[in-house]
Amino acid sequence: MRTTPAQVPPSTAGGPAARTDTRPPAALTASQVQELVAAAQGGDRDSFGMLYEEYRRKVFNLARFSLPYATAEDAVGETFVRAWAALPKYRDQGVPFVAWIYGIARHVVTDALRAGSRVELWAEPRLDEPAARDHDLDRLTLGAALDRLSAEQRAVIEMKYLAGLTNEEVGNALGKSPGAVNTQQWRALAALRQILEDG
Amino acid sequence: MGELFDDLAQWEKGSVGAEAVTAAHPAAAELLEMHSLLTMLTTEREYGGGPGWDEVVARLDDRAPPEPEARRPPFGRVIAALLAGIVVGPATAAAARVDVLGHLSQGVTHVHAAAAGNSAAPSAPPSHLLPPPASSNLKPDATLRGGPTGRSNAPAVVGPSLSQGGGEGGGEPLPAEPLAASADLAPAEPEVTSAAAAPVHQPPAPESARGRGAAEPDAPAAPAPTEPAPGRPVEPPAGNGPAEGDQRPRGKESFAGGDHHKSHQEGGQEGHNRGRHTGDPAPAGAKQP
Repeated sequence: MRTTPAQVPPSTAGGPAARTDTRPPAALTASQVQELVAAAQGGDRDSFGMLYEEYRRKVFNLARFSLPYATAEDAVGETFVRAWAALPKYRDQGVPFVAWIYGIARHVVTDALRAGSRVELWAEPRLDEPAARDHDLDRLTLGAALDRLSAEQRAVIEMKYLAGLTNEEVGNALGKSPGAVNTQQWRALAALRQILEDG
Repeated sequence: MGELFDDLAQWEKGSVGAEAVTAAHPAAAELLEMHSLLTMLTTEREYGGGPGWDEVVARLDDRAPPEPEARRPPFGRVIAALLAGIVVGPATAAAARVDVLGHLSQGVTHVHAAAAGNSAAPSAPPSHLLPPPASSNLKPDATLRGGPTGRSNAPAVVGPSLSQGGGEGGGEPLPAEPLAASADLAPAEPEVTSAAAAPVHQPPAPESARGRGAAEPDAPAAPAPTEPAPGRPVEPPAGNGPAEGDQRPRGKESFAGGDHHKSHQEGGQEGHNRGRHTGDPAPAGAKQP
């Protein structure tokens, strides 16, 4: 059973409803992704466009944790432009394609932060509704806390929650066992909570 | 603690309920709450726009890498810039030098002369600036002092030592105006004639004369029309060197023949080494031991 993460309110944590699969409904299977990647490596832009549609929201979520909305949107395009340029170098070695995209997106976000986007982090003219604003502020706060995690813990959190990878897939990407990934995940969550409590 | 993580992993797999986990591990409730908060914040409900694939494709087209040929400065344009006396950057100048050496054999000197702002240099130099006799075994690098790494564009102010100095050699071309002014001043200095009349065995001028900033004011307008005899080292006139300090490539072209090329290199390196360790200007053409 797969539940949409948005359907899980925080208050239900610990209850049966909190048992969530953070992975959004996947439109493409792993084999389909492989086929699209192979076609894109052959120069098929339409195939890469399908991959773009598949993963752009994940990339946006990653970027949105650190960047303003508009900048995060730009980061999405930039990520896939770079991915297209680097696509000939991609080799399927068991690491999910989305993890490869995630790595590129990480660099794009870092570059955007270095470029000074952080100064606009709290400027969100697009958000008019208070609820949306609170939601966004929570996310930005959490994003700032994520930046204080170790690189590996942050990677685990981002891959699991933003890219929607399983422990096994994250383990393949990071060269760790699924159990080690699980441990890292919960430690990272504990560290995040501590960081948020400490302010 | 490890047991907590194991239980949480079981909870993730759906093997156990959250109640069982939180009952056994009170801290698990906080972790599960954090998990749910993060899950909620990473939803995609907000994202409805963003660049479409067409827009990304447009960026791909805009970033199409240029053809390798397009990256190379056109030969003609670089030469035109040099002839116009335009100061170009080191990279462009280096590229131009490579191009020049690759395509020209006799016109190199003229190109550098023009680059140094000395396009008005007379085709026939004054007699006191002419090379020494053919019997001279003066190393051709005597007046082409300066190492390959120097910068002749540093000293816009020129002095007597300009007649000798190669400075630290090879930097960017000097602006035309300062060089032209220095060229006008150079002949009035006595060191010019003394240097030209110096014995052929006279080693290079003191290090100080080749110190930093002792850029040669004039481009080597003299060597080209002298038509050196084959195998005979040709001595360019003292104080008539080009602004470009890196003389070795040009020396190869303009002073081809015999083994003087070797001495030219040696002298260039010698001048370079000396010039790097001295800074005080000294009279050009000073007596050498």
